[in-house]
Amino acid sequence: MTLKVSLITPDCILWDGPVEEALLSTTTGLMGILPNHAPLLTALEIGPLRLRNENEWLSFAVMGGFATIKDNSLTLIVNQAESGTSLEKETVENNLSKAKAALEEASTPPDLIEAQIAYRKAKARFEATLPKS
Amino acid sequence: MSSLLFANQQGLQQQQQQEVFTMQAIGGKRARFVRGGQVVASPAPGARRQQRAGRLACNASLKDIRDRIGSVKNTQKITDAMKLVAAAKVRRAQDAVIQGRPFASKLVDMLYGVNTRLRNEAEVDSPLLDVKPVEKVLIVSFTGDRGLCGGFNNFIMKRTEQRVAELRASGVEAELLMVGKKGGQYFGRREDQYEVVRSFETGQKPTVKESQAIADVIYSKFVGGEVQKVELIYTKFVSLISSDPIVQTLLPMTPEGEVCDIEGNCIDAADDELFKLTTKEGELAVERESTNISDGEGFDELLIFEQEPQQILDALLPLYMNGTVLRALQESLASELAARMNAMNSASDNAKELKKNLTLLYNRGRQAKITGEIIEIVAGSSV
Repeated sequence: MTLKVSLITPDCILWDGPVEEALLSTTTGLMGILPNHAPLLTALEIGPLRLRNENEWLSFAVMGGFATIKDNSLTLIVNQAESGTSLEKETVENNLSKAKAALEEASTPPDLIEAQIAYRKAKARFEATLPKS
Repeated sequence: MSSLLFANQQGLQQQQQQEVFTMQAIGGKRARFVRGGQVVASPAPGARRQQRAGRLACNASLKDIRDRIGSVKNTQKITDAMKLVAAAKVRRAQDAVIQGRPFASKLVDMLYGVNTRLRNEAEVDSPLLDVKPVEKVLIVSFTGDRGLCGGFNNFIMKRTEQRVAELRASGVEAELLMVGKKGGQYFGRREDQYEVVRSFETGQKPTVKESQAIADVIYSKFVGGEVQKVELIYTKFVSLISSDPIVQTLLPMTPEGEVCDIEGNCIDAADDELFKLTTKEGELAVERESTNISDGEGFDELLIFEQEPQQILDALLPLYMNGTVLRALQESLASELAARMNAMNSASDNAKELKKNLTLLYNRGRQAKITGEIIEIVAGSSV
C-alpha cells in the first residue's frame, strides 16, 4: 500500500507519485504520514518536507502552505518549494548565516517580519540539504 | 554657386527634420508631430502621407531617397522580427497560466471547504482580513521592463498618478511599489512627488519567486501596520488588441478570499478565466474561457482539522494573496507582449507604406532625370 503524493506550487507540480511515508512540518510540529491515514487537513510551516520512496529519503524545502489527506492521496499546496538536491550546500549555509545577521539587525516592525520570513526560509533550505537523521 | 550650396544645406536640414518625423511615425505615435517647434494637429492619414511625399519631392536627391528606402527597409525588418518574437512570447505567457491551474483550482476548493466550516464559527479573525480606518494605501503597479509597446506603460503610469491624486484628494496618503523597470524609472525621477517604497523588475518569465518577493513586501507592510489597504494596478489581458488597466483591492481580503475592485464589485475566485491564443484563418486570435473551477462539494464530515480552522485560514490567505500577485504579473506580461505585437505590427505597416511611397518617388525622379537628359540630347542635335 502506498500513498500518492502531489506537491503543487503556483507554477508547477514538483512531485507527483507514490511514496511509502511522508514527514511534514506543520504549524503544530512535525507529523509523519503513513498509508491509510484518516482524512486530514493541516497548515504547513516554512520547513523541510521528507518523502520516503523505495527506501530512499527525498527532501524538499517548503515555504508554507497546507496539506490534505483523503483516500490515500496526500495533496500539498505550497507557496514555493525547492528540491533538496537542487540546492547547493555552501550557498545555503552562507545564506542562513546572512539571514541570521539580518534578523539581529532589524529594528522596525516591517523589517523584522521580513527578516524573520527570510530566516525561516533560509533555515528550511538548509535543513532540506541535510540527510534525514 | 554659393546660393546653390546654401540651398543644398537647407535641403539637408529639412531632410534631418523629416528623419525625426518619420522615426516618430514608425514608433507608432500618431497624434501630434512637432514641426519647426510648432505643435500641429495631424491631418487625416491619407492627407498626411501625401504631404509627406510632397515635401520630400522638392528637396531630396535621388541618392538621398535611395538611402532612405534602404533604412526604412531595415527598420521594417527589425519591427517585423520584434512582432514575431512578441507573438511567440505571448504563447509562453499563456502556458505559464495553464501550468498554474492545478494550484489555483485546489486552492479555491480548500478555501471553499474551510469557509463552509468557518461559517458556523462566530468571529473570523486573521491579520489579512483586518479592516482598519485607512490612513495610508500601498499601490502596487505593474508596468513592463521595456518600451516599444505602444501606450502600455504610459496607461499604467497615468492610471497610477490618477489614483494617487484621487486618494490624496480624499485625505489618504499613498505609497508606491513599482513592478517593472519602466514604472520604476518614471516614478524614481519624481521622488519629490511620490513615495516609492521599492521597485522590482518584471523579468521575462514571472515565477513564484518574483511574486513571492513582491508578496513578502506587501505582507510585511500590511501586517506591520504601515499601510491599511493595498491596491493593485495592472493591465488585464482581454484580447490581443485590447487590454484594460484596472485597479483592484488586494488587502484587506474578504473572508471568502474574493478579490474586489475599488467599487466593491467582487470577482468570484471560483470563476477563473483563462486566455488562450489560437490561430483563426491564419490570424492570431485570443479566446477567453471562463471555467468554474470549484465543484463546490466541500469537505468530508469526517475530515480532521489538525489545527483550528482559524489557523488554517491564516495559512491559506497568504497563499491566495501570492496567487493573486502572480496572476497580476502574468496578465500584465501577456498584455505587454500583446501591446508590443500590435505596436510592431503597425510600425511594420507604416514602414511598408513609407517604402512604397518612397519607391514611387524615386522612380518618378529617375524618370524625370532621364526625360531631361533626352530633351537635352534632342535639343543639342537639332541645333
